[in-house]
Amino acid sequence: MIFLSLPNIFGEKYYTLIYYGLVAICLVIIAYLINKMGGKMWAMVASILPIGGLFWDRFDIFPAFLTMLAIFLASRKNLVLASFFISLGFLTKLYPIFLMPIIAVMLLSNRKQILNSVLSFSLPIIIILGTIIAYGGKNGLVSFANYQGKRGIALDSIQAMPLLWQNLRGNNELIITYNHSSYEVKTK
Amino acid sequence: MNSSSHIITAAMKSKPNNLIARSCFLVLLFVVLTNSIASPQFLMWLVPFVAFLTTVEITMFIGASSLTWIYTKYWDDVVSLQPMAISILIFRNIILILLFVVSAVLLIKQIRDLKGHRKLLRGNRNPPNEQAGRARI
Repeated sequence: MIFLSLPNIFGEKYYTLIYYGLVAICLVIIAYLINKMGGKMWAMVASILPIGGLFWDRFDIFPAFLTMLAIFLASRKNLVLASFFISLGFLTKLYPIFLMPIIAVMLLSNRKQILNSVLSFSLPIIIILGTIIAYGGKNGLVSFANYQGKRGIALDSIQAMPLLWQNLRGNNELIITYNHSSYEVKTK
Repeated sequence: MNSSSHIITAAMKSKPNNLIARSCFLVLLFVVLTNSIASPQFLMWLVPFVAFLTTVEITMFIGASSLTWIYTKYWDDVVSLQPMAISILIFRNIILILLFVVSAVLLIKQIRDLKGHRKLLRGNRNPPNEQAGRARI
């Protein structure tokens, strides 16, 4: 949660400004890394513009920055540091874990780095989760898992698409409820 | 090394970064598509890797992002299941599914091309005598 805590450094008055500054810094670094890897920077800028306010007001740019950094390092064959940043990304938001298989495939042809990569990936997770458990007990993690497990199908998910399509054709009636910080859909 | 080897080596040098980034894009898009939550901001996960796609894929992603912006602007209509708003949402999801299919096909093609380039390069690295011997056979 360092990305959410850091903007408080000069007090609440400057929180928004520093938060947006952090977002801008992440964006510039991502653009630099894309350029170094031979990507099209214009594509990144063009893909951000339609997302609009979501881009500035949401937290997801920070794990995106960490994953891009990890992939840049992986492309330079520094898989130990890449694993470390994937680990940090995972601790920020869960999705970067899905990129570990790609790193694992690269490790097959860089076997010398396997042990260090495993350590650099697992140690931050063990330290952070261990600290959480030490202070809050395992209930914090269990309740998080329970919360995620009880979430229904979000209205704008792909899984909801068949239900919405049938509703458009008049073949079903849907119930929309606000649960777990999102609008969930199910049939009557 | 002959000139074709230079071209192949240059292609291989530019390909690996592209391949890694494209793989990441495909994996994360799969996660977004199969996720039951699928909040609009999940598209931001893909933004860094969009830079390594073809123009067609980039256009499709920008289209999906634009439609995401539109339906979030009219979110009340989406929640009350207004047909136009729901149609926009469904169309956005169809574009994302098509983008996944296109990206998967192009990634597989790129991997096959890369394997072909590597075989060709290994063939060009054989000593001239060995190549001449093979030609005679």
